[in-house]
Amino acid sequence: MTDQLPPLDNELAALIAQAGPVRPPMGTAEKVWRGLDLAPLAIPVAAVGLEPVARGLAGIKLGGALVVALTVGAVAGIAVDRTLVKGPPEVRVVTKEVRIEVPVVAPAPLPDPEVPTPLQAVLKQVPKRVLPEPAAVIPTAPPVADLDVQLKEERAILEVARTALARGEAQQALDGLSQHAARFPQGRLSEERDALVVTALNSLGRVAEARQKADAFLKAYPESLLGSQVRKILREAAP
Amino acid sequence: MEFEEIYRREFSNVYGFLYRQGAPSAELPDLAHDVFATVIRKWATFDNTRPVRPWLLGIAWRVMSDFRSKAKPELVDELPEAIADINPDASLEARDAQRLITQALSTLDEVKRAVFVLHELQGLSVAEVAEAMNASLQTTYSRLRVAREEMAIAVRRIRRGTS
Repeated sequence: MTDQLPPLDNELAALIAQAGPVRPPMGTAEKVWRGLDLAPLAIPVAAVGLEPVARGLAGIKLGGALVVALTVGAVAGIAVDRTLVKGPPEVRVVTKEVRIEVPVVAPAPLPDPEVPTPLQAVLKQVPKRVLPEPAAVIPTAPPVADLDVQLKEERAILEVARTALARGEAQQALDGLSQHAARFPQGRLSEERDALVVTALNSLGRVAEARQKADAFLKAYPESLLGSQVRKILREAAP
Repeated sequence: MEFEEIYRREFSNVYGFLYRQGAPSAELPDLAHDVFATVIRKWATFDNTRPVRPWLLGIAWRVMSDFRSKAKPELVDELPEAIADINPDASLEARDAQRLITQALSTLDEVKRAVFVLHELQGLSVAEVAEAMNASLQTTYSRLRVAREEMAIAVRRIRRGTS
């Protein structure tokens, strides 16, 4: 196939060599890096097995706080009730008591982190290795083993469909895409699949269906980078 | 491979590609940001047994294409004078060459321009360009052939006009 390609014009080749690469101004890479949200690359808590523990801790803390709050509320309520039934002269005193007690008790839901709760006291006795420190979250590409079989299968199906489309075999491409949709309705490459479906339908002259799918695609993936491609197909589709 | 390593190694490539595709200087950092933000979002789908550059530049191509479709035409395509912002340490000859290439590139349509830039200036193989642009090999060869011819004509025409 390379024999179809004539060599690059000498003058142009010399010009390219002379120009050299484009280099960004100093500090641009650092500036862009600072604006990136790297959180999605982080290992989720569940991945290191801490989520249940974290949930448990949160639940117990909230539960404990609720019990304390309810107890204090009940005590205050009983105090108010008792003082009220004693008669008007004592009402002022009771009011003062309530005003004093409420601010003291109100912050109870979030225990002071400096003061160990009963649960923390128990956890202190548990050997550290039982509760591993969250691993340093180093963003790394998923290892090959983790790029699960499903993703590879999805990619393979879409690759076949894409090749079929490039060859002008749109029906075959559509069959492959339907197979993908049946096997992986919520697959990780659904967005790519749905964009290819629009292309395939349009190539088959099924313009109305292509339009329908394109509208659905743009609604489902409003921020998709494939959106402009889909919109272009819509624009160029025969009326 | 770690994302940070890829970023460090490939930032200039992405930046250079966006610039040569006609992104205005003022928009370059934002567009580069969009490329790497997309990379982060798509990280889990990256097949790390394959080379990263075609994947990365494929994302850059789509980001730039998206930008072009939304931006006003007069905002796309760098004015040659602004090249001083890029490669501030380059020699005068290198800057002149860069300016001439940029002017010639602006005569190509978006797709042929990308094929030419990816292969001739960013060093991707034709197969990698095809992969990055989600096109068949045959189509990519055909586009490259035409892009080379158009570029050679444009360079000569610009030189004749300026000399």
